[in-house]
Amino acid sequence: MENVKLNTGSYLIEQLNTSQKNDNVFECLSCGACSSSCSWFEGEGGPVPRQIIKMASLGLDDLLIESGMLWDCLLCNRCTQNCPMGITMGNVVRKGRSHPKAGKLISKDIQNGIKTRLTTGDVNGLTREEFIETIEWMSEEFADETGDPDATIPYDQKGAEFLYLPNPRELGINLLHLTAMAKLFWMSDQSWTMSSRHTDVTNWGYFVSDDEIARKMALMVIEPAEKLGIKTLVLSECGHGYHVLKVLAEKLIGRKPEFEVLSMPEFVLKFVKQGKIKLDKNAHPYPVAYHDPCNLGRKSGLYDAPRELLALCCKEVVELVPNRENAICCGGGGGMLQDSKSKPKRMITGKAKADQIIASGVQNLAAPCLSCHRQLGEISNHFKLGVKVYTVAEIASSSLILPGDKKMV
Amino acid sequence: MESNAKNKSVIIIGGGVAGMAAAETLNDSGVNVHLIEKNDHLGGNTFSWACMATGSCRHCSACLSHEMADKLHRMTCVNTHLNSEILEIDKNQKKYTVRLKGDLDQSIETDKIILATGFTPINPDGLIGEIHKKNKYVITTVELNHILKNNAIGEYFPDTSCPKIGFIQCVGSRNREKGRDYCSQVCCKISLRHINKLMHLYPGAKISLFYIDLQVIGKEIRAEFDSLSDNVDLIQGVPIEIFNNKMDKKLSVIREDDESGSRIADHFDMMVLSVGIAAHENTTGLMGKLKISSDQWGFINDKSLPARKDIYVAGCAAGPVDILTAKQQGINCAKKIIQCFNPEKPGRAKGLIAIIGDGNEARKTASAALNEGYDVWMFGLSNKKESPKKGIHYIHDTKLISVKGAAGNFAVLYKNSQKLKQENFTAIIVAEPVKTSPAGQKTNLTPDVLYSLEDFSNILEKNPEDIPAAIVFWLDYSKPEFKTFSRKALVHAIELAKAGKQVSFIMNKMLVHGLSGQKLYDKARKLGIKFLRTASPGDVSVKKENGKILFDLKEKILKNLIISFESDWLIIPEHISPSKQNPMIAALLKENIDVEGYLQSANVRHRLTNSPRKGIFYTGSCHDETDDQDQNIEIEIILSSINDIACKKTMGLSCGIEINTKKCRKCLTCFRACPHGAIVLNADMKPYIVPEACFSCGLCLSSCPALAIESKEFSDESYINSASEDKVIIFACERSGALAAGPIEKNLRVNIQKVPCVCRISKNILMKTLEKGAEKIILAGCHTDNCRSLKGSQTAQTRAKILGRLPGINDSNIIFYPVAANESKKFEQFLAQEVLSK
Ligand code: SF4
Ligand code: SF4
Ligand code: SF4
Ligand code: SF4
Ligand code: SF4
Repeated sequence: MENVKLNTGSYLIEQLNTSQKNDNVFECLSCGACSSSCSWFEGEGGPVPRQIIKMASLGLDDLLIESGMLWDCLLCNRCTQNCPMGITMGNVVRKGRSHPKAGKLISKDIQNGIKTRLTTGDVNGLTREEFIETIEWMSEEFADETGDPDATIPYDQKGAEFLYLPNPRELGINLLHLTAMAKLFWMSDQSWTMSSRHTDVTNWGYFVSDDEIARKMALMVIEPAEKLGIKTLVLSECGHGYHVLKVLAEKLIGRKPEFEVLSMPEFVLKFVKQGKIKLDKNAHPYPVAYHDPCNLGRKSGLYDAPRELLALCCKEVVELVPNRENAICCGGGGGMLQDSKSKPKRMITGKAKADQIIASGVQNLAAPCLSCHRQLGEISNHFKLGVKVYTVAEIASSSLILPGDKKMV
Repeated sequence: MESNAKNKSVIIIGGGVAGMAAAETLNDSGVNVHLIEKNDHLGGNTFSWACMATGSCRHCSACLSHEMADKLHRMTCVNTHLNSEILEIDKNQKKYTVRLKGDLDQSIETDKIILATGFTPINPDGLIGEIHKKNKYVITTVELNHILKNNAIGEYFPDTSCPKIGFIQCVGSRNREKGRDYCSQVCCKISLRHINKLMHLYPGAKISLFYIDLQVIGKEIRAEFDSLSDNVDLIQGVPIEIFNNKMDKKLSVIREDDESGSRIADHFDMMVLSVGIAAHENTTGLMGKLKISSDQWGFINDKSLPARKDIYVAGCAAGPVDILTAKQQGINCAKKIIQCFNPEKPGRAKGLIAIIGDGNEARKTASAALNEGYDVWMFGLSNKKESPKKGIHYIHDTKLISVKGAAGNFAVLYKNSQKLKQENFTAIIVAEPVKTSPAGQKTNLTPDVLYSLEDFSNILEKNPEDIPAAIVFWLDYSKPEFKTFSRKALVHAIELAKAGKQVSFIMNKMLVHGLSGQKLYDKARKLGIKFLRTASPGDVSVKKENGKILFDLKEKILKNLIISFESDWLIIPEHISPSKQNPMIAALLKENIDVEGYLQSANVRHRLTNSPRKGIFYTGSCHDETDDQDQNIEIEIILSSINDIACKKTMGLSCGIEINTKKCRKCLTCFRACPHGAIVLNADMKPYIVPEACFSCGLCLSSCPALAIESKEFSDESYINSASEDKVIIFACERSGALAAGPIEKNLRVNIQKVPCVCRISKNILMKTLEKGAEKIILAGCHTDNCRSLKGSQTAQTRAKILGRLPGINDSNIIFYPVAANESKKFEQFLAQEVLSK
């Protein structure tokens, strides 16, 4: 039996005994609701959220750090959904990760990613030159593909209405996704651009809960966007990116950014509604299940737009049960997916999701987040589900009805 | 004087327990009552609750609603409007005009309104997943009540005698995020009783109780909890989702493992959701019509009422209460209204009241009685010298010798300073203090750092500057904490924390009784007061070092860990036990003590404050777990009952039972038998019945060996004559068996005879009924401890047993069958299987 000293003035108590609503761990009733509804589900380790809160409230910071629970937590806030005191687990755990002694727990990949991003502006270290080279080449391909010489992938266009902020994967391993997005912009007939100054929707400062880093990363996006004078920033499908830039940005940088923020599915839906973008429901004549990314749904309140869009692109949107506020995390949240060594763990955290998918009986799955997308793909392989996974905007793109004047060659 | 009340009328909205109790009380004073009920029957929520008896009554009180509803239908001043709702309420001059929507649209003029709209059980939708909508094995306590009432639990477990059942507490309660940061008060007790019942039906059952803080509060609940806790898996922490486990067709939940602390799956055959109490949806509309405000949870804020004197509220409409309290509140409301109609002039000596006991509670009672214009005598049984209010006769160190007589005229014989004295009283109130002794000796701490809660309170009041920087309160030190103590500690702690002290609690659970209890606890946590949970007091060790107290504690939530901390002082609430005088007092008053040794039997027919002997009352912690507020209400109701006795409102009522002095042999069997102390001896030692004290149970009559006692209405012959050949005759208690038999379809072979109490049926009646050729006699009486006349139903049981052994009589000819008013289904099944099939 271990012996520890109760501490009334620990780092965490100072950080968490704020009067700020939902951050005060002292308010915990010890009801246990959180422990029973954690996304990790049964019997295979993982965080015990009630114990996290208890340790934090008793000032047992070291114990909490050593427990390993801080980085097992997916920051999914599923447990928070049922907390009678509304204690936001994600915030508490992130405060724990920011503990001066907790630095050693941060995975090598995330540490490196942050370093690269802060020095180069892109988490993968893509330089401005490389970006321009890639985009210009892709732009040509795009014009060829569409047969429309005006169909380009513009960058650094001052005064454009919309600015598209990609996921780094779209400039590397998943270039096709970028083309698919470009197609949607092209169809919308809006003036849009990308920016060579910032190419990365992610913000790993959020995972390590270093507000300074998170702020810098947010500003790396916000300031150049403001310089370009765009009206709306359209984010590539990314859960935590959306949460940071849409929900947290104002608090993080201390002012409101001078533009609106939309996720890609929201953007598309807007122009579908205006009649600019037309979609073919028969493009996917089968049911597609929708996965709620925690950062988009529970943490940012975006539930309906992606579903609405998806419904226009396929036979039927199937709900995984439970869903929306009570949705189960894909199992890759909280920075776990960003750690290349986490796969064995992620196949445990993903088990509940796999069960959900099996129960739904579908063969196709859509998630408006590239992280979830990747994790779901791995789950499908690992559990041999044979399920195809898409992003929502990707499905929209492949459902486009091309009018007479815009023809694909 | 009564005429005043007789021209008045009162409208009562809601025909549940509170509304019915108010109606009955008003009826008895001749006030016209309109009782509005939206359902097609009276009785409210509890009407569909099951009897919790397991061998003997468990005092759940549910059967009372059947008895009350039955009585009301026969009351002359009560107009019951079923299937009716309030359409409009107008106030003109001093009257209200109420328009009803119902069978007949009509309007009623009334002087006062009682809101007794009751509660709605919280709907679990969205609180605990959605599985309860689809899976029949996930049920609420309300549904379990229905299942048990219909005697249908067997259908759920066709192939096991050892079902595994889980109870989840606080579903919908104690939840700030869902806008219900209050404790529903009753659900813990309900679950404990349900568990007890299920264990009785399935002795092999494995039952888990998932809770946040078990509210072990109230008469006998501590004992109930104690006896259950060995057989039930008590798990702190509530699961929030239930899964269908397709593999073994069971239900699964995730919970923390008690030993390792990691999360595990647990599997069950049935999950019961202990749903809380919410304000009734109809209340909101009504409040709008009456322009009164609700509290934040939708309960009627009774603080908003005094300004509008014509509106009263009773029962759960004002916040969650249990059945007996709801009933009491209904009665209190009615009494207030009656007093309003018939204001009494104060200052006139009304009579003498004896108070047994000394200490705070007794003093408070005495002062209140004095203020009401009574002469008050306080009999302190200890040698403590009190200085009560001027005008109160205080006798300390009293030895009580006997209490004779009956309501309105008790003769108390006592010894004081070696002298034997006697005094006559209108009524007797028992307010004997409990025994308190300092707790915490086992800690071996010195008195400069270890304080009882009371001593600490005094210091806090008088010398707050003496209080050091760090204080620990230790609750549940030797047994479940008493509610007054946890509340007091919490209030002190908040005050200390605000003054910048470091405050911690060691506890097994926190009691959050009362509508504001949860909020208070929430506030304390928010202030940074630390609450450390332990499984048992043995998980804490303390020692003193360098003037500080050092604690080593095994926290319940963090496993395999000892947490060390220090403080300057340790406060442990004093240990409470029943007064040593209780058995003596109970014997003198011919009453029982309860299982824990407190005064007053737990029998729900006389609680909260009454005893089987009219004119004798209990108040304070001598009989139940009460706080200041509870006691105020108790005193109020006791004094108004005494008022009825003093004003001789109950005088002149005939009880219909008389002793024929010519036949009486003075054997005094009746005197000893009467459970209500209604038979007294006159100067030449002849017994006579005091009608105002008699409950007409008939026990004296059926016990008198000389057959000298007679009942005009219910003679032996009238019972015997009803018997006929080959019939099964059921003598059924009018409060239990007869009500349970009510809905049972008339069967031609069965003849049901309603009796005032099964003890009325003498050996004479039994024998003669058999002689007349009755095939079988069933004595359908109350469960043990539920009989209004205490031992009445047991007496009947004994008679059945003895006669059954006589030659020529088969023990299946006379059967005693205990049944409660709400056990129709069980009774019906019993009759079908055991009686009619043969
Ligand atoms: S935030 Fe998610 S992973 Fe973390 S403890 Fe809560 S439910 Fe579990
Ligand atoms: S659900 Fe909330 S109140 Fe309950 S134990 Fe978890 S953090 Fe504490
Ligand atoms: S007899 Fe009445 S009070 Fe006793 S357990 Fe049954 S229903 Fe409850
Ligand atoms: S703690 Fe209160 S709300 Fe929760 S189950 Fe017990 S009585 Fe009901
Ligand atoms: S009828 Fe019952 S209460 Fe009345 S005197 Fe006889 S035994 Fe007592």
